[in-house]
Amino acid sequence: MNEISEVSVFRYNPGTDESPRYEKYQVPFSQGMTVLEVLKYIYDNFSPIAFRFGCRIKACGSCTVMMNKRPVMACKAKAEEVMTIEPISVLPFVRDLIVDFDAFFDKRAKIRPFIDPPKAKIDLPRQLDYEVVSRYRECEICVECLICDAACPVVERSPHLFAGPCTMLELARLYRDPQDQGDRLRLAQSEGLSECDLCGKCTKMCPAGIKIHEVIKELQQLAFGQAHSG
Amino acid sequence: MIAGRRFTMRPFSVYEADVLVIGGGVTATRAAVAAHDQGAKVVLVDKGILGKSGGGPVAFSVTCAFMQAPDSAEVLFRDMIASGQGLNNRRLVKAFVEDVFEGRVLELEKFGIVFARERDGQLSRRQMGGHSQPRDVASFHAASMVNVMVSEVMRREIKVFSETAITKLLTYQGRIVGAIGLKRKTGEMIVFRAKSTVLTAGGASQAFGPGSVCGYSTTLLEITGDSYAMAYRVGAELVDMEFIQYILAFAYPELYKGILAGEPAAHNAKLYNSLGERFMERYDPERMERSTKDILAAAIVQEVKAGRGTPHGGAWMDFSAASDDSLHIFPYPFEEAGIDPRKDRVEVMPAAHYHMGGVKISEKCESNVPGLYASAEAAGGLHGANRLAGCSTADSNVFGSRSGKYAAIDALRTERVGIDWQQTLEEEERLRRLLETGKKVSGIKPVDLKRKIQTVLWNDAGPLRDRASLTMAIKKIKELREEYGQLRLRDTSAQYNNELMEAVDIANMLDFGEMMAQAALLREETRGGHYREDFPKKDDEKWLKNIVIKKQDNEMCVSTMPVVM
Repeated sequence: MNEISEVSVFRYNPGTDESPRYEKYQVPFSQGMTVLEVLKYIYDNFSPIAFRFGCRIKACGSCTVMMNKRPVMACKAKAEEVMTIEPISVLPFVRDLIVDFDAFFDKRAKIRPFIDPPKAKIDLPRQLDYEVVSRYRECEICVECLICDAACPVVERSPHLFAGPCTMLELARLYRDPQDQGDRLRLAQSEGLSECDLCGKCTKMCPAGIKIHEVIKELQQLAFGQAHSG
Repeated sequence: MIAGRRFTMRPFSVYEADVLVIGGGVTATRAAVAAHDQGAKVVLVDKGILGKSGGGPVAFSVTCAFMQAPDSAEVLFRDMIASGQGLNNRRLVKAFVEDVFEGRVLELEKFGIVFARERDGQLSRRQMGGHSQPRDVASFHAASMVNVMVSEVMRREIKVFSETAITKLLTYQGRIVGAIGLKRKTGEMIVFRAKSTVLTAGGASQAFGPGSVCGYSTTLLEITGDSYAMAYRVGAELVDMEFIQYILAFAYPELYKGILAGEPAAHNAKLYNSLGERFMERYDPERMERSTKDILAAAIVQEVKAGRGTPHGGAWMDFSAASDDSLHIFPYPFEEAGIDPRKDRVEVMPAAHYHMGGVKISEKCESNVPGLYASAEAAGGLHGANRLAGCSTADSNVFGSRSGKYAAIDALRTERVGIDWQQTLEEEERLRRLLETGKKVSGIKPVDLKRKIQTVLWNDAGPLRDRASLTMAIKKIKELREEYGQLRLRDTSAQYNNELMEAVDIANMLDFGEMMAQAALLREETRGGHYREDFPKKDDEKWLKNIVIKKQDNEMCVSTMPVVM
């Protein structure tokens, strides 16, 4: 028995449309259906919406959209019977559900996301304690889906002050790599580390299950000492 | 003639560099970095988002990072030839073996990758199917390899054009002088002028199987045979196009059809048919589930054909003896699919994973066309009839680096090359015409035509083939070429138009599909990733040779050549 999902999709092509609108579609709905399948159904059968996906298994992080005001990965999130789908707002808008990832790379380049190598030559394979590796792994499994940034109230309130949880996580990854000689704590500070009030929304939403706010908390403690209260 | 206002694409702009790298995965980034380090000005152009497209986000396992006695160059060489069933280009294999033993893969650690470690801090090494030694390492995160390489691209401030689809290679006096592409975000055509061009956008897996959201493939949406088709059109020779690697993948639910289920060897997994038999006893009694990918895939296909398949046309894979680490090494969608791998058996089927064939290259990654280079999956020959596990990403590191290096050396001693602007105008015209199809009253949607080609290649030229099905596939591809003229895009805006992208992809899939089917029809035997029902045995007497495809006088010419020793 198939039900119907009432889906409202944000549509706007700045090149041709006078103003944005929401278009409504009725999509055959079955329990367990993902948002991605709903979007693809609309694309195939009703209207060629501009949307993006890649891997289907939360590995590429390119299908993030807002579903009923919540940032989700379309390939993972289960569809709801009444849904509004919009683009995320943490990157510049392009068309319909498409946002501009070039801006993400520009932002990334600013924090020099590559190993600042030690002067001495290192022997490969690197000698790494299991503990060090585990701590590194925690930050490394991020797929840059930007759900954390989209869920962050500080980013929403003052994007000019705080680069967002995703950037902090990347800095923590580099900090936790014993090979990296960059001053990541200082970089984190200049990207607004102290602005984070550790509300934990990022952690709650992270599809990779990373405890992002705890990682940020540790960065704050390292940068400002135990006294800092956010 | 200039187009009417509404459908006009933006006038093109020109970007000039020494080396143009086409692609966006591990190979592309390694090539770009290697070319830059030779002192060349490099531009990297990716159809998807750099690092989030193609194969990069799922390239988690790599072989030959760290090898110790009794492993040796000779042992590795022998393993590769055995898996490739004698068709490997020996000069490429020799170069590969030399480079991995010099540490080409391990140097990723210098760039910051952290491969999985044992409790004592040593690298975890796994012995994968077909390898006689434990030499596979894995990262914790599927995208680690491409991510560290994207960082290296940023370190060097290499110019990147993400979501810019190269649609045509440009020639001038017999040389490749760059390419023209569509910047999807704006609809702008960009001419990339370069003295050397490197194709790394390999694979064509998305051309197989009409899945609900994409092909029956382990790879991402972008993998549509682009490098093969574009190289073919400019007269490059392609080799081993008949060999497709199928790997065990989810057969159900529909969304995950084609998603990697992993090598049984990596998970201590067992395979069963619907009668509960461990059917690998029939196909490879010695190695059982530790067999190579080609034998595993062919075995499942034969079980299904004999009526011993599972409800969704596959086999049962039992993960109950897998280690926790192995279950988390890749984002397997167990939870999303409602499967508990400890208790439930997983329905698996062979899905398109990798393409052994590609542009015929030298050890320096040169094609037969001056100025055109290709590497890793875009090139053919290294893996012969079947690739060994983990050798794709190792190939990306070795030949990605080689292609960038030699493309740069050649570019730096080449004078600025000319350009034939007529070709760029014609290509702009081709895309503009596709957009204008929206004016038609009726026609076929790109997505529907795409499913047709995916159906033909899967049913008639996929895991099971014979003369009749391949002849039928070639006939149907010809018909689909006619139907391509009936395309009608509903979306007529040049700005981020997914339908326009699909229309460009379909043209590539058609050329790829015909090459593959023609080569498969000619090879009357079964070997590696080529399973002929009407010739189920390997025939070394007649077929220990490679098939080469080349466009001549607008015809697809298929011939054979001796294996390069």
